[in-house]
Amino acid sequence: MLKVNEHSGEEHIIEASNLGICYRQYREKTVTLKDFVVNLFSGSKFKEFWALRNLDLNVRRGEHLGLIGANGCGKSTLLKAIASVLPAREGNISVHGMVTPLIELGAGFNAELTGRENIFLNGAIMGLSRQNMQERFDRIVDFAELEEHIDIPIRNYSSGMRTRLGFSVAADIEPEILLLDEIFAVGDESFKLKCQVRMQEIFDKGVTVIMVSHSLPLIAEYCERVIFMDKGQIVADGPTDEVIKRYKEHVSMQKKQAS
Amino acid sequence: MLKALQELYRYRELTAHLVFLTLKTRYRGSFLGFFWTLLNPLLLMLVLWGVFSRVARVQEEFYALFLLSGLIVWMFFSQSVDAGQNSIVKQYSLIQKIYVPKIVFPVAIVTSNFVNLVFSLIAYILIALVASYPIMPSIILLPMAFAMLYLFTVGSALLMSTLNVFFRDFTHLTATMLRALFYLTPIIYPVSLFGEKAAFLLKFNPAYYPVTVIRDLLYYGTLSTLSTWTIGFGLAVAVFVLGSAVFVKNEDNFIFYA
Repeated sequence: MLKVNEHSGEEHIIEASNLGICYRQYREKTVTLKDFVVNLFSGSKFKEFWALRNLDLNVRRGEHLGLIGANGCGKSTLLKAIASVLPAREGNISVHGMVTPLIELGAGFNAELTGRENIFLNGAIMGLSRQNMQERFDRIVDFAELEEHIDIPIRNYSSGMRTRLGFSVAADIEPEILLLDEIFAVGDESFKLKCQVRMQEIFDKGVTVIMVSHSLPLIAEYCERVIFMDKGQIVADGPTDEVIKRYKEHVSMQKKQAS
Repeated sequence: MLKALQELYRYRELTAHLVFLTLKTRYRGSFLGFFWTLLNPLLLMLVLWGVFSRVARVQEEFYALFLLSGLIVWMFFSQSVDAGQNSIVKQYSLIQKIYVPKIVFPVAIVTSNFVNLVFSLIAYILIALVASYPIMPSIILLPMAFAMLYLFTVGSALLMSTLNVFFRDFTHLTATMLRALFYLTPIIYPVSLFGEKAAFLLKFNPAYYPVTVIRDLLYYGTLSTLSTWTIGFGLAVAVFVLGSAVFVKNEDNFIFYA
């Protein structure tokens, strides 16, 4: 969890202006001293790829925003920029609140540690104190339904148990901004239902949510504002029905062109 | 740099977790577990003692303890740099997903080795007691010498972990560089073994100072000269400032070199 500039204006919780994020794509993945020397003489060996460029975005506190678009349009890059994982090459982005990314469940879990130790490790990764996690601990274990297995190393967990634990930790922490990348509900049917109920609670509490999904019904159900992205730019930004309609038109037009 | 220190403080619990994790998993699956922390310097001491007390005929009455007092310092430094240089590269899967101040990773590696250093110090004291070699009151100044050593090592680890992100060559180069530095530092020999000119030249090696200061306190029971302390601390702070400045300046770009 990240705290930036708490005292700034209440109006917009996320402000990005002229945001540009650029990856270097190496033709060969290894980075070596030899490459560096060669590049000095023969020009660069990597190609620059602007995943986002000239992007302006304001998100109000409590808004539920959906991001849609084809693969590689920059949705996940935008989430990573909001989470401060990726730095801006151009322009700037400011986030006035705590961010919890639910991008990949159990990121930062260590297989050698027990479930209990991993809960505290995960809390520390998000910048939460041990005491704070202590208060949440029982609730997390209870939600994950892992009371019996909490003191064994998670290398002995099934993948379902791991994702359940990951979800429970992330969902218990109430951030000001929640980032969701295709993750909404995990586990078997009964656990999925619990996840959905918990998510609904978080949504209703006025948390700002930014979600990426290829499932338009899911976006339509939870978001009141949608942004349609293409090639690192915002194509449309507005009320859910209008933007989804626009996106569907775009997709069917592309299909026609292709055939 | 101030920002880095603030973040380090704010994420101190994460650092503590990572230190614990490193210590817990280091000897995973081994029979003797944590005892290796004590055994390793002793075994290395035995090998070097066997070689250098016979072959090189170093004139030092308690050569085994003399060696051990230098080796524990060296092992802390070299193991910290060796593991620290990969500390960012190894954490890519995490830092690509969630924001964490990256400085916690090299600092945690060095700190976990520092815990080992404290245990090695206990091993030294036990052996000295068994050999009825006196433990001098000068050891109360060890925390100060350890602070110098820690700053110097953190700075080196920050520098090496940054370089290694951009040039993976350093992984291969470091082992050799550390070996060369080992021989250029008075660890297996006393400075007095060579002439005055060599003694003067050895002082250009920044690792000379923590090794000398700690050995003086621990083995000789003396305080090093004021100039040794001053230059030692000056260099340690300089290396720390350089390492953290280079690290902080580049840390935002680490993510692009996965």
